[in-house]
Amino acid sequence: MPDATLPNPSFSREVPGLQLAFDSVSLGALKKCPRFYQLNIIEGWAPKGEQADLFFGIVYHGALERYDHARTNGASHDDALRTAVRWAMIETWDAELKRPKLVEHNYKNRFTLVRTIVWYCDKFQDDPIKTIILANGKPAIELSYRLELDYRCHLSNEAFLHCGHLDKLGTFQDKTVIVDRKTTKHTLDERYYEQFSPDNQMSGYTFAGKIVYNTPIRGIIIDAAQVAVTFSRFDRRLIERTPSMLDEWHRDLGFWLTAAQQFARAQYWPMNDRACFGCTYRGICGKPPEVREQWLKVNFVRRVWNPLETRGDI
Amino acid sequence: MTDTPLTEASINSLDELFRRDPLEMSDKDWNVVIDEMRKKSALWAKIDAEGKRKAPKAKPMETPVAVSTSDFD
Repeated sequence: MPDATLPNPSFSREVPGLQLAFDSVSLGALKKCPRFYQLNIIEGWAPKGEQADLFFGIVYHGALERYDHARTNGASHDDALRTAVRWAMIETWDAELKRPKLVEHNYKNRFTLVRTIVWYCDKFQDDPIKTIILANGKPAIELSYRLELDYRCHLSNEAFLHCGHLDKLGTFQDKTVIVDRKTTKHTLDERYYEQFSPDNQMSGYTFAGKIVYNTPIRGIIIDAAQVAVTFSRFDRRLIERTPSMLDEWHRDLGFWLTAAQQFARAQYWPMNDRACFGCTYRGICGKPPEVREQWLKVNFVRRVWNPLETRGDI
Repeated sequence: MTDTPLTEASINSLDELFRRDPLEMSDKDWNVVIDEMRKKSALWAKIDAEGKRKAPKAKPMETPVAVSTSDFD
């Protein structure tokens, strides 16, 4: 590992390289390939283009969150939309350099972001999915959770956590659903939705949602937005998991956590060289080990992926 | 910002609004942004509907015909 590994609060202080608080991104990275996990999560190397993609998604989510909050507080559709758009435009403005951010990408840029927000809110202003109001009176929007698992680290007896962030908890046809918003440049066809079953994130959210919110969950509604150069399109699909599928996911999770401990104990994360198709680090892993770090420094940026960071601070 | 006919004309461009500091934008500016996006939505809906109307219907699969190699002599 490089000398200057960025500190990450989701990792054990007793066992170097052992993550205790996982979310779907970090758990998914581990499942894909331990070496990918080491580069992406432990060492924090992110491809330079990832920042723009992530930023687009974060602002899109934040704008719709503000729209939802405003409507829950009694604002009209138009007033709530103006609030959302204004917030998004401010977030994507560089006040120091006095110029817009998020301008380079052909598909996901400031203009397509605002267009997608306006078109989405107009389309769903009378949303059939009703936002649940929690016991504290707040709408169930942008809910961060940390679920202590019934798995513990063999080496230090520390508990493992499953963390997540639900965009919305709502009711649809009298059943409770989790809503997960996604943006993509791809067509919203069967092939797009196939990726969600099986899927680590969908299973994890359904598993955790039932426990954390103590309510049966019908499933997860993928609330997808296709963002193209000249248009935005929207579609929704229900993704379900049976109790037996969730039990299986939970059982598998135990094996993956055991593997994470083995890798940390050995301080070695092996490459899964059958998972390289389309991998961000193919250009790195395809080079001799002794030169990889130089290439990482040229083509990637360092960032900390911390599942313990909560969102939803409105 | 005081509304004058000259000011109103200068804020009609969506491109200009996207280059402007959002903290200096008025409610009227925001309405222009949203209205322009809605116009694009209506235009796109027309184009999309027209595209679907003109899309050729899928042909039934034809029975493949074996080609003799003598065809390529």
